[in-house]
Amino acid sequence: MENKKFVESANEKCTGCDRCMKRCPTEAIRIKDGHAYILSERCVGCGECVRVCPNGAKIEYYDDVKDIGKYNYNIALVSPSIFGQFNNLRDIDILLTAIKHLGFDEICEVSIGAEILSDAYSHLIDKLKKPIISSACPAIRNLIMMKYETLVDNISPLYQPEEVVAKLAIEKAKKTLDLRRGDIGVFLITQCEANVIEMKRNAADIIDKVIAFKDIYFSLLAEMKKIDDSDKERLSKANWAGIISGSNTGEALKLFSDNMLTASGIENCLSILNELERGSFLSNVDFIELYACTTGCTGGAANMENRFLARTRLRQLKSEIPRRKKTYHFSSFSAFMHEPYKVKNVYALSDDREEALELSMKMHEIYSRLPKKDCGNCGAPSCRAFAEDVVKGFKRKCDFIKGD
Amino acid sequence: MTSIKQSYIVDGNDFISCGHASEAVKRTLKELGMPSDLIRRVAIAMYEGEINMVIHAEGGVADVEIFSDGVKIYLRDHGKGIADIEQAMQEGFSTATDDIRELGFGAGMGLPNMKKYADEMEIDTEIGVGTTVYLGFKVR
Repeated sequence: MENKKFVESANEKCTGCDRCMKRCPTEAIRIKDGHAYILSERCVGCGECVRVCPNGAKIEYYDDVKDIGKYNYNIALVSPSIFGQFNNLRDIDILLTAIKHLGFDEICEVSIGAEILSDAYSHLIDKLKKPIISSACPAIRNLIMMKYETLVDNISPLYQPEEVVAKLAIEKAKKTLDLRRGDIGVFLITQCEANVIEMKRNAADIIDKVIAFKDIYFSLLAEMKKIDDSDKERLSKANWAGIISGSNTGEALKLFSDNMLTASGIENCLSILNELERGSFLSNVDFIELYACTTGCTGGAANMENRFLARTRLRQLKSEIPRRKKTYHFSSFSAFMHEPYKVKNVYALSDDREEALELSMKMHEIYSRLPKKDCGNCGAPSCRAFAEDVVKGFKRKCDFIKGD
Repeated sequence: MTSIKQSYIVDGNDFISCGHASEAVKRTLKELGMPSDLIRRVAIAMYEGEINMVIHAEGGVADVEIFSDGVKIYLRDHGKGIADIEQAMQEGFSTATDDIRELGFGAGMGLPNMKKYADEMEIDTEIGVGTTVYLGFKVR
């Protein structure tokens, strides 16, 4: 799965316009022979190219909905951002019951994971490097690992909420139902391609399938209409704090209220990471929560509703959510910690440093002759990327220089 | 030995865009596939150097030479010079104005941090003439 193309451009729909290429935060897209082409190892799954494409040519990989129900015991992990996708949804249990009817044996709310992580942060606050960068958004985490080496140690080693609930659900099913891991299918229902990439690469042991919310939306609508009070199950266990984590007001609100910074939208996140890397405002902030999608997970590319409306709806649910007793208590959170994150350099010109040095010199020589307009007409997102491509052996032609 | 030579003008009036030189050097080091530890050390130390030139010397020039196993950086300015190098190297000592501190700079960590992250450091300074700080980094 490591080298899988998670986001692909469909040639039959792609007109070769360069909107996606110019929008990509990691310079992962080129235009070749009139079509967009994605360099998979640079893709963080932020969804920018998907949203900006006027022709719907960007295809994000998700698992097939037909896989639902194929295991002996099927568990659905439901992202809270989905709660904001329906008009007049007053009762989350109707939605959760409908999801269950699609073929699941158990429903787990990702919101519970967010609540557990909030507890984890209050336990670990003095042990983590400040400012702590939340690990909640996998696109941001991958972006930092690729582009911001000085900040990698600041990424919280704690799991994403999805991973926390997956792990707990598997343990519970094994223990109470005497199941083996192979009998259990853990399905994450999400709006986020970055989650797909992350789970397939690094959490395949606890999450088996990742299903796009958009792929079950219409069956859900139909199912929800059928549910009345008699067959509605009481499935929701999360508190408001966990549920609102589906939008960018976040997991740590209570704990860090006075000295936290939250932002969403890839451009905003990039500007904050740039400033952070230069050392500004480090001393003023203890916790930083960044979401690649504007409004946070409600803005995920595989959601259906307008992201701002979805956020408003999520907030409107507040009065409907009762205060509930926590169903979990942990004295240690080491079970929910990753190994520290490592820098992932996807920009090296060669694995051999001597050769890379030669190529880099050539690249800078080429770059010095380019117009530095970053117009994108050549099919590379910037003049620098043009020079990079040329030394890597791709043919490129710049409209502004003669010859070559 | 083959090397890449780069030269950057550090604009003395520009707090906002300060850091462009270290940013560009960082990108080159990434292209070379340098170990991330080295990239971090160079990025942090060089940025401190740039900031110093802006705060204390109205800018200057950063000359960078990149080898396959290390980096040499010369930060040259024509500022007022450093009166007492030993004092300047102490953590927390700074001659920056209150206005500069208000912006979050001038905490007196510039030179100490540069020393901490570089493998070699030399300061050549003359009052009224200027300062050259040499930073050397080796792949560890």
